[in-house]
This record gives sequence, structure tokens and C-alpha cells, in this order.
Amino acid sequence: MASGMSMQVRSSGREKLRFLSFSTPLLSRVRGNNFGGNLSFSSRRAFTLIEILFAMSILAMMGTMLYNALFTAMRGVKAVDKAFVTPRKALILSRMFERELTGVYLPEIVVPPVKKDKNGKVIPHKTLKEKMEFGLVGKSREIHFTTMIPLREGAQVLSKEDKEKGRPPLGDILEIGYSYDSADDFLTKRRDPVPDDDIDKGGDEIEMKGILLDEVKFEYYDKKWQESWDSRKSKKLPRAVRANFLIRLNDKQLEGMEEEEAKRLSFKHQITVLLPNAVDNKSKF
Amino acid sequence: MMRKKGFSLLELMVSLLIISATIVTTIPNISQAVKLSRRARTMVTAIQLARNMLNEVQLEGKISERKDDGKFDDFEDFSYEYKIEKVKLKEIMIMNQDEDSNLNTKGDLNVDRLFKITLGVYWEEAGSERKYEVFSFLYAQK
Repeated sequence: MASGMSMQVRSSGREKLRFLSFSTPLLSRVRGNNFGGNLSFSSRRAFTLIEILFAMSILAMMGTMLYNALFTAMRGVKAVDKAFVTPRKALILSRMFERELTGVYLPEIVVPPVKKDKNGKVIPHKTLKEKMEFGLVGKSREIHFTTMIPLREGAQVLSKEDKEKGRPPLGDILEIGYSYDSADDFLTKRRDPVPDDDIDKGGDEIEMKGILLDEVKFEYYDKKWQESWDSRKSKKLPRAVRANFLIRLNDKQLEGMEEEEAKRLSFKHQITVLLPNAVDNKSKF
Repeated sequence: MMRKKGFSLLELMVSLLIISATIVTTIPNISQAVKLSRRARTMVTAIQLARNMLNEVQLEGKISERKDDGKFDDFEDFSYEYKIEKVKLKEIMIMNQDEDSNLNTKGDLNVDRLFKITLGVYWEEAGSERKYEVFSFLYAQK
């Protein structure tokens, strides 16, 4: 054991000398013995300096290329991801609109709750229709409506956040409003748990800062597309509502981006929702 | 005497270089990815426009057999073409002839009011025309 160790030390010392002299192969002795002595000395040559330099340069080139390729691929992933930020938001927005607007409801007759005085005598009151506002009121940059939302979505069900904030339970019909101020760049959603005497005011306000918009336009259809609608006056609903959005990236995503690319990555979206509860009063009776 | 010779380091390195160059140039094709993402964005718009059109067709008076084409007002790059035709439900007609059948739906189901709409949304992309085609059924109110 001990003699073997000393052999190795001695032989490696000799090889080092040989390597430095550039004359004799580096691995000849060590490897040559392992191959049963069939190989001649000249074929078991060591690497020359030029070979090693060559190999190093090739490795360096490969490294650079690989780094470049990975860097480009990462950039590609980011570019594709950025390209879909705005369409994704458009789909979220349009799904929400479709669900809420499909349930827009204008009751023909509203039966008010009976109120009695201390003696049990019924207090005469104005009809609820005069006191309460239902239907749809809108301009090109704001829309307010009373809507029936499927039970699982809202009615009688309180979310965790609603419970924490002590909000009252939502009714079967609730009041929803969206308004857009170009100074703000986002929609403000208003949600009133029960319809009341003003269709365009009241309730909780939620600033939808997650979806930034450069342009918002609502249109209302009845025989032709119109810029505004007021069912308090016309006593009917539009047949359809069309919403136009121009969605843009947020400031963090826009950082260091050229204007042209930013423009290309914003997303123009349009959605037409039919209001199934809009009935033509003439054909109904 | 035959010389048994393996690959030299140089040969190994050159072949490695060729293999890695091939991999590096073929796998991360960024321009293709960006092109596809653009196409997908356009598809989102085309599908939404088709959905809008299917709704808007129902607004214009009574549903009847007709054909129309044109450009979208706010989306000038897209054009549409649609065809509304009556549905021929041969199977239901045959069932109606069998008077003993419980499936007799004569009078209840007015096939005259059932229409099929075939809608295509067209746009140009990299010099070639692309389309998104969809069909649906419409039931005309009395």
C-alpha cells in the first residue's frame, strides 16, 4: 500500500516534467498500461497546448450561444405573456358584463309592501314604481341598471369580504352601475344591494384599478344604436347594449416600452349583449 | 498493423459544437412565438366579433332567409358574411306523419320558424386571408 502510494507520487512528478518539456505524451504511461500494451506509444499521445486552447475556445463559444438562446427564449416568453395581458382582461370584463346585463329587469307592476299604522289601518302610499327606480339608465360613459343575478352569484349569498365589512345581504334584484372618468383610466363599479329611489346613486363603490382603459363607450339599441338611454322616461329597456373598451397595459408593464409597441399591445374590445327581458310593449298586449 | 484510434478531442469538440448550434438555432424560435401570439390575439377579436354579430342579427327586424356581408364599423380589418336559411328537419316531418306516434309534435313545433345561421369572419394576415366560421340556430318570434 505504502509502496504504491510512493509510486504514484513519483510517476506523477515525472509526467509533470514531461508535460512541461512538450516532448513526450502526458498519459502514455498511465493509460498505456491499462490497455494491455497493444497500443503503440505514438497513438496514446497527450493533448497539445493548441488542442486545449481550441477546446476551450469552442466551449466558450457554446456557452455564449447557449446563454444567448436562453436569454432570447426568456424574452420570447415575456413578449408572449405581455401580448396576452390585455385580451385576458377584456375577456374578464366582457364575461362580467354579459352576466349582469342579461339579467337587466324592468318590472311591469311593482307590488309595494303593505304598511299599517298603530290601529291596524293600511297607510295609503304611492306605488313603488313612483318611489323606486328600475330599469336601465345610461350615457356613453356610464351605465346604471337593476338586474337579477343568478342565485349562486349574488342573491342571498354573502362573500367573506361582504361579511367582514358588514354589508347587508343582496336582494334578488340589485342595482349595479359602472362609470368611467377619463382622468381616472378605470371603471368604478357601484353595487347597491337593493334597488332604491335613485338608480344612479348609492351603494358600495369599487374602483376597478386592475383593468386600465383608454376609452369606454356604451351604446343602446332600439331600432338604431343610441348614445343614451333612460328607462325612467321611456318606461322600457333597450333591446341590446353594446360596450366598447380600449384596454391598455399598466404603468409597470409600460416601463421602458416604445409608444408604438404599447399601442400594439393595447386591446380593442367590443361586446354586444341582448337584453332578453326587453319586451316590446305593443306586442305584449 | 491496424491502428486502433478513438475520436480525438478536437473531433469531439467540433461535433459538440455542431450539435449545440443546431439545438440553439432551432428550439427558441422567438419570431414564431410572437407571430403566433399575434394570431391568437386576432382570433380573440374575431371570435368576439362573431358572437356580437350573432346577437346583432336578431335585432334587425324579423328573422327571415337572407344573406349579407360587409365590414365591421369599429374594426375595419375584419369583414363578415352570413347566410340565414330555414332548417329542414326531415326526421321530425316523418314522425309527424305517423298519427299513432306519441312523438307527434304537429302544431307544437313550427319548423317554419327555425333558422340556421352560418357566419364567417374574415381578416387578412401576412398577405393571406384567414377566417373564423361558426353556425348557430335562431328561433323567430311570432
